[in-house]
Amino acid sequence: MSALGPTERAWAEALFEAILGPVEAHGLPPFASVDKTSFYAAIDHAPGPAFAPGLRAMVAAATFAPLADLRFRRPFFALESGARVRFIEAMVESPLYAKR
Amino acid sequence: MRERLAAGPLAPRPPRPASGDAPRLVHLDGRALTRPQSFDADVVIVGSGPAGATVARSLAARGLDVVVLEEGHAAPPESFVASGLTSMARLYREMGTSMALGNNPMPYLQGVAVGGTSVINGAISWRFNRETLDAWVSADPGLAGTLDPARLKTHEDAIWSRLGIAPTEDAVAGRKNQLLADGARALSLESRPIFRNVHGCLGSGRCLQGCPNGAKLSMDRSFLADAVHSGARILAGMRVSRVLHDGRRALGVAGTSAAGARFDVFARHAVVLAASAIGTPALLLASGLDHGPVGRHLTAHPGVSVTGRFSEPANNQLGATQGHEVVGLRAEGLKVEALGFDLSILASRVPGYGRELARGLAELDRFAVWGTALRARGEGSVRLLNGRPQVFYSLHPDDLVKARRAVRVMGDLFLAAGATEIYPGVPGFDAVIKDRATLERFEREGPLSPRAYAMSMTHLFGTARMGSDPAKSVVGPSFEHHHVAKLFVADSSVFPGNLGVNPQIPIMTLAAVCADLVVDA
Repeated sequence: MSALGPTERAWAEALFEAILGPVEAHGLPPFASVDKTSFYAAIDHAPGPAFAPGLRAMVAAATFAPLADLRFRRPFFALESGARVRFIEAMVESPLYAKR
Repeated sequence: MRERLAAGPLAPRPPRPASGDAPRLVHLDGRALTRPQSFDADVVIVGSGPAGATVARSLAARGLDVVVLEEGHAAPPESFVASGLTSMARLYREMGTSMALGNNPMPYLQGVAVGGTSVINGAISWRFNRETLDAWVSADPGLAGTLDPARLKTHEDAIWSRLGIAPTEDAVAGRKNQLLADGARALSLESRPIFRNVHGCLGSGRCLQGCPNGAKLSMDRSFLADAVHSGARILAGMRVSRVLHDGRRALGVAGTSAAGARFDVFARHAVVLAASAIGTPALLLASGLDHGPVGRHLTAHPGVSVTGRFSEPANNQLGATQGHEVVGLRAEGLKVEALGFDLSILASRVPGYGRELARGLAELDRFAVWGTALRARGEGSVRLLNGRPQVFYSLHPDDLVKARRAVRVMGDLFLAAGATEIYPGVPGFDAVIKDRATLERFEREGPLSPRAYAMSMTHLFGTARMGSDPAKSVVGPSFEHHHVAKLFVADSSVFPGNLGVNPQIPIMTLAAVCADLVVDA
């Protein structure tokens, strides 16, 4: 069973891409060009039983959290790239442990 | 039986077969065991890490019929890959995602392979320190015979010799280890090259992914190989689920092969548990053996790390994975080590997100990560949840003072070594530190909330502790269960407390004593 379904993978990749930032501007391969096959194979088979539900919950929470923020008011995948980065940075700097 | 047993300290390495062909390490892999099967042996050992391998080598050399059961599979050097993620998926329990729950949820890492965690550790070797032994005996004088320093030293010397333990050579240390040495020298802090169980290290920096050159003398390449030379059988891919017993005596163990077939192994002489400070109490609890404080009194060495950035390459992924350590602060319960990671893991330690992270990733070779193992006062437990072990552990307030001090010390070391920026990774304080005055302020004013520190849990002890009093311990000074005869525990579960140093050799030393006492039982 997959840790993330196809839709959840798309949500997760939007999050990963924003976290990594514009790596291509620094001579690194763009996120979209990276082969993620081994990554998904690893997370689908190796972790313990709590991993997949936890990852799904995190991806869903981070994807829809911007809806509750008046500055964004859209799901993460619907934000433009600058807003995605600003949202990630706001989450990281949150005083709330769970949010960080 | 007794006539077959030549009692004494750890036997020398047995001679290789006359044919010159080394016997196959794994007798049977559970992926091929598709139908129920029963085995028997004089002694069955659960776990093939440092403790189980030591007991297996000692008992097999004395002529006992030994079976070692290991949940993981054989992992030869040619199977190892550089990718941290792929290595963790193949060789680490739950891909390294296992978490201890408590006031600061922490990941912990365990190897799942023939050789256990020795396959994926940094090969760091320390002897027992006398103060720890004295403290344990002072707290429980009944342990004096088992922990006799002269007895332990005999075993330690034999282990030290067999594993070729020696300081990391300058030629393979690499820049990151040299930088830590430079920083310690500038601060007049006592430091030294790390003593490691390696032979012919090339400084590939891949200890944590499995040494691709076979230079690390992990258990599969040393003690288990010796045990097999002496006739021991290793059954890999075999997950033990319970100890078979009649309430008074251990009879064997039962479990499931990697192919899903049930198996049992009956033991004529003894059952030895060496499944780690998590696996052993879980197995006892799953077998209805909940006497005494089984699963409780978990102690550890939580680790806190700091990232530094240099203006020149530090090449954190190259050179001996962990080749230098600062030992001058051990009296404070702090031991600083250089850490070596695969680039993908190192990338996760680069500060920032988005644009800032992208800039950092482009200069990944400039970053280095050093860690400090804390001799912590915190305690925890291992319990079964839905039949699986779950670790609970909380830091003591004193541990947070140590963690804060450790961040300051590592920052000082980085600056002294020439780092231009330090990233403490502690929310609630400056994200970037560039001077010693700010580090001093960090130690005065930095947060003491447990969740401010991103820590990992290393070196677990004490969950089936040894002692004279059955109400306060699980096994007696002979390593035998207080209530179930012929059931022994040989791993770090029996340690009465933590050590303040890396435990592989102390674990093997006590396991060698355990082997002597299994023979005498």
